[in-house]
Amino acid sequence: MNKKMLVALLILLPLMACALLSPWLVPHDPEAVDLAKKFLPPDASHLLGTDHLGRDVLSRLMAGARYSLSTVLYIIGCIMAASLALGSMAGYLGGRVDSAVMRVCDAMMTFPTIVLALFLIGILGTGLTNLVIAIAITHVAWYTRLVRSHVLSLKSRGHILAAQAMGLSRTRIVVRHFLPAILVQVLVLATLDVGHMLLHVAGLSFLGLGIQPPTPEWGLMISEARNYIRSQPMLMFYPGLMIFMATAACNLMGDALRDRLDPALRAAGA
Amino acid sequence: MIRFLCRRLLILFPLLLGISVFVFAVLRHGKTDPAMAYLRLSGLPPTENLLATTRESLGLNQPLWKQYLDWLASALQGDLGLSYVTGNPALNEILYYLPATIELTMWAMAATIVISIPLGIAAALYKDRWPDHLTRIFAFSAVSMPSFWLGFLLVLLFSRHLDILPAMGRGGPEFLILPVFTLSFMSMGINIRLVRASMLEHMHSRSVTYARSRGLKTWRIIGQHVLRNALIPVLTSMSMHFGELLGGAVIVENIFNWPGVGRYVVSAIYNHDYPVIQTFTLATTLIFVLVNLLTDVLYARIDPRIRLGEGR
Repeated sequence: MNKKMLVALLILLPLMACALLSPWLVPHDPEAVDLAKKFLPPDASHLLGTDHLGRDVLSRLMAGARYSLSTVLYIIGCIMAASLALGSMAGYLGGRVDSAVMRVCDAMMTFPTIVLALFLIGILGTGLTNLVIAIAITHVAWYTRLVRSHVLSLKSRGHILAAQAMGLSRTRIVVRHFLPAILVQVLVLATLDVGHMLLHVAGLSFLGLGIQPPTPEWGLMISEARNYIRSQPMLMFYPGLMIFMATAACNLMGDALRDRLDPALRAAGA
Repeated sequence: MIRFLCRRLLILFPLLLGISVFVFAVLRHGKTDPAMAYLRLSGLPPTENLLATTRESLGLNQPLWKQYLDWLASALQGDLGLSYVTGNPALNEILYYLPATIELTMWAMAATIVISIPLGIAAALYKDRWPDHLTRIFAFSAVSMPSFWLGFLLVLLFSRHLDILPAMGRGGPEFLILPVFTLSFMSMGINIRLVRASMLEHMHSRSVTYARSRGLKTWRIIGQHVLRNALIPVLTSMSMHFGELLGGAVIVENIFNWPGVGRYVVSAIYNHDYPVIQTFTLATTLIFVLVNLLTDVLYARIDPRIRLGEGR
């Protein structure tokens, strides 16, 4: 196993454990407010202390893994569904459908990513669902183009032509013969993008436009801690460190996968 | 060159039209009723009667295509509606805040270029030795760093502990340092990797081997044969960086209370101020499209293959 992958897994596995098991693992309720206990220094019961509302910081950090990772999974799910449908439609049907889908993609790719996400959230409203929709839409065009180009290159292969000659329906050909081959490619691209998506989710939540309080989301925790930055700098330090570690691990994972699949890059040592 | 420019300008129109259709479509399918939002922010009670007249005056009763054409016609004349909050034209509001954002973005762009290109070159020249390792660690942490965390860490260090730089606001050059560094950090990381990879690719090209066999000095080979070719893909990536920086400015302005358009648009989103949100989107996208055009033209000037229509 390669070194990058190992480091990435060493960070990601505990995070995933937190994400899956945080309701049972957390020492305290991450959303329980107790003003008598605010800004407690770290001790045996509260290993990382408490925040401005007396909530246990460690519990909030662990529960935060759940929100950050699941949000990114939702986003990737949406992107995959939309891009596989649109891309295979464009590539397989060709003609007018193809040029229509591609023109829409061109237009979407013209926006700077964050500007488009801000616009969508501004019109649709804040909250988890709209955050997922907005970030998914900003990525869909790239994935759709990828799927389409793979469908185009697969289209003239022998086994596809054979399937057509046997009179299989279009849907069946796409589902049975195109999707399995393309899915891997899309997943690799998604792994490369996960780190960036984590930063987008946290960034928009930091601005107050994503996941809403009192949810223990990392970006939101930084934004809540900013009022106490001079007296309690650690409140802002921990969630940022979590975002950084999670993003770094995802980027490492993406790098490792790309190295493995792209021998030209591996030779250049990039 | 003229032909290239014309062709490039011709692609621009359908693209801009596509953007306008998309923006309009999203605007009209938003969950919140624009008439309702308008009344709420004007402080009027939203009675049935009032809602109906507001819809009438905002033109919400007409067929969609008519609404789009009206919207497009007035948008082209610079009329993008009045801000629901201040009652001033939204375009004026955005133009008032835009210069501060452009200032921040331009300086961040300059910082990205000045820092990442030498570092990327050094990493490639000293491949697998300590300058390379250090630069790669720097680049890797840069692409994983949340800007809103980096900003606060810098404030803690330079404003609180060392007390040498201001933590927020806009003023003399000392106010620029922290926001510009925070904003450009991620782009530096991406660009260092790009410069390094591109240098390595061209260091092994045939022209370089030939130059080496002619006995040319190493620094001359690097300067004349490698750098020239290696920096061309870096130039095209500049427009991508510009888009990232322009968008990233929204977060950085909120950290450092920089009085730019990003901080303004976030408050507009809180207030459901749709005309301002729409103007922000169209204005920043237009700037981005123009910067793209500029880099393409520069690219074509430098690289004749593109100008003569190969490669695309």
